[in-house]
Amino acid sequence: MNFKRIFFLGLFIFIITWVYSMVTCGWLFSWIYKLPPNIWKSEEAVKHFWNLLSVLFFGVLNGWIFVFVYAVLYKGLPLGGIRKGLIYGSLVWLVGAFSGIPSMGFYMNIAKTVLVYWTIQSLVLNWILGVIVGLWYYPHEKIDEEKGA
Amino acid sequence: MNFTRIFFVGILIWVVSMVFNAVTCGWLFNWVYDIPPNIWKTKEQLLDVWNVIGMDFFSLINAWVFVIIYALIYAGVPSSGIKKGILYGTFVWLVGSFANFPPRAFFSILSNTIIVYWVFHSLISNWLAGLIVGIWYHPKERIEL
Repeated sequence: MNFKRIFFLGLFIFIITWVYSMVTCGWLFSWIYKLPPNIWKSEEAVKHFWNLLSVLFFGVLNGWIFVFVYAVLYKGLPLGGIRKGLIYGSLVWLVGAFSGIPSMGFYMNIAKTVLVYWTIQSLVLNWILGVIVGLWYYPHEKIDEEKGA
Repeated sequence: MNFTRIFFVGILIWVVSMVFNAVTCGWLFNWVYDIPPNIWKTKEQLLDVWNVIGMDFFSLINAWVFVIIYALIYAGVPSSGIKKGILYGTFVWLVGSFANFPPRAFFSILSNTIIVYWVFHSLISNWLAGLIVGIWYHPKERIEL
């Protein structure tokens, strides 16, 4: 397992997720959060120091988890390179967002548009993150392989 | 990939999940849903026939997805038997529930108790499902070996 790659790719994934969320939830699709019922925190509460720090902490942690689990399952994932990463991203979406988000509509009061938006938004995000790990994660650095050979 | 096992193990996970949810969310910890703010559907809405069918259908799909992915990456999940299944359940929880539940507290008005409850509830639920696939899913029937 390549811990150096896990560390840096996790941080990179966190940054990409942050930018992606800003562009989608924070700007392009911000109107979604104005649909009733209003179950969202106020802008002040979201931008509160401790709230932002928690978002930051969990964002980095989730970035590392995403790459770490990819590294553990690496040999068992089909195909290679970008396609391997895309498959991994799709699987993470299936067991994460797809299994958790649409079912929220069955037990809580939340706009259906939000659920559809979150489901599609997270699929695209997981594909982007999958491409990143597919491109840049290797179990061993190439230099190690050359030394071994 | 053993499709017969995927089909039946998925149904078993679905049944166990329903019982687990009924015991935890429906009875033992139903008080967490009384904590304000009340953003939950009413009992009548929850028990509406189409809501029940939708929820059951969706959880059955999720159970099959859980087993299909286990079957797909079987060779890559470390260890074997029950331990393999529990590890798989833990990974699913890490990239699924753990990655999705806590951030909800940062932008929605959900109570923190609910989020903490959901995180632990889903961990145990995934361990149970992992235990089931670990015991009962085999890539090939033993008779073929």
